[in-house]
Amino acid sequence: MSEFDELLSSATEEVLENMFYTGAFGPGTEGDGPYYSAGVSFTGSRNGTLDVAAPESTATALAAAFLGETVESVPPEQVPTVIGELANVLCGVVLGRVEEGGHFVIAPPQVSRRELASLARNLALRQVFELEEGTLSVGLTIDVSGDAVSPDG
Amino acid sequence: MAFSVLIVDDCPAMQTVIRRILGISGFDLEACYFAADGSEALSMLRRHTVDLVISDVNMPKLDGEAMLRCLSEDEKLRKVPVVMVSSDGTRSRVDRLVGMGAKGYIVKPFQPAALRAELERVLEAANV
Amino acid sequence: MAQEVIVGVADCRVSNQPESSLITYALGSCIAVAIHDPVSQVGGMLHLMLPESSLDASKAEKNPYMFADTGIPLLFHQAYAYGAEKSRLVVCVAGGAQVISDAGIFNIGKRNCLAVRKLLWRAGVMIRSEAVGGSESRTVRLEVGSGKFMLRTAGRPENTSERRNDGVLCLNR
Repeated sequence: MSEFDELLSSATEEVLENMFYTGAFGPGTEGDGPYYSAGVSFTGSRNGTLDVAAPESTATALAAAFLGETVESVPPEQVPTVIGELANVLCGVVLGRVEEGGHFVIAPPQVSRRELASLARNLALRQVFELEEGTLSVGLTIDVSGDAVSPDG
Repeated sequence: MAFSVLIVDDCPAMQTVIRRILGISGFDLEACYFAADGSEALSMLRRHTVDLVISDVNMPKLDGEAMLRCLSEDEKLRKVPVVMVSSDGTRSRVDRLVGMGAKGYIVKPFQPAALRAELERVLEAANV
Repeated sequence: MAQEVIVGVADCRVSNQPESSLITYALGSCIAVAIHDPVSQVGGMLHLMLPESSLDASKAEKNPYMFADTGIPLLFHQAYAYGAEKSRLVVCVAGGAQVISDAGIFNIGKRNCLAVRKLLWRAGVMIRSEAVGGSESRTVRLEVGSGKFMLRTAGRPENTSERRNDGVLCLNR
């Protein structure tokens, strides 16, 4: 695993375990949609984007856990909001570890509902995590030299 | 003693979580107000008596840092303790915001007990 | 004279006797949830093994204390029956280690930890202190009179349970 792979993996686990009471138990395989997808772009010491995507059922379970609700009682309009916050928090954790002392501005998350085929796949680094409730995909691109390149160079 | 809180965050779900933590922490809340950005927060603070502000940092319109700057320039509002809540836990950001007057700082992701502990510390220091 | 009440594996005990202590041994991947009401001086302890009763419904029916989702509500309700009040309850959690005999039920210690956290959050209950994760077995004791929650990790003397306020789940990876 590259350094960035490990960073993304450990950051995702930390966020999921502490605010979503969910574990990531190894690599997963994406199934059919629809998906909730949230992307955040960041600028500052480095520019780039971070994207998360989860099937609707997984997103609902994550929202329920985050809010302290059951899957049945979670308000549906809160689900995309929570996925957006997951992307936002994860982005902050990742950037803090990429460059301690760096200065970043994270834009508000852009959340959408889409099918599996249209999920962002052009991000340089991408991992799919197996959760108890389904899968979570996390993608990251960090601009190194002004052009969007892989974190490996 | 009962006190009033203003929660500032552009994410409604995070507002809900923070409000929930306040509720189950056993704090004696007189009122709880909400704002979606620093600009709305300043408007709320001029209309209501607030004893504690809990604020996100990254927000549209007026972010947490700019809001802190405005509060520090207001003779009355600068006395209200502010706890920042942010996914940016870098030393430089924390030092900068504390230097600008933030009385507390909690880094996301956090567990409910961690936020409660930080709020207890700040409230005690501020004699609220 | 102090009376020790032993909480076994997949077991739950509640007491309102101030001279009693509730103790459970050798928490590996299992979790002990200890609760205490300092006003009514009621204490309870649950030693659970697995996160969800849906894993084995017939076992859950025979022994609901085996699972977090069936055992935790029973622990709380038994404490209420003795006069405890939810808003006053101090909750401590210990265990959830990753042990070698975990093979077959992957990461059960972590799953147990997360299930307990999720259930308590959903129930609107704050966790006061926890000692979770790692790879060592723990023995815990709750003094019903004082509410003191004592912890012993293999090879070390007994200590009051550490309080984690840094927002990090204490799971060693």
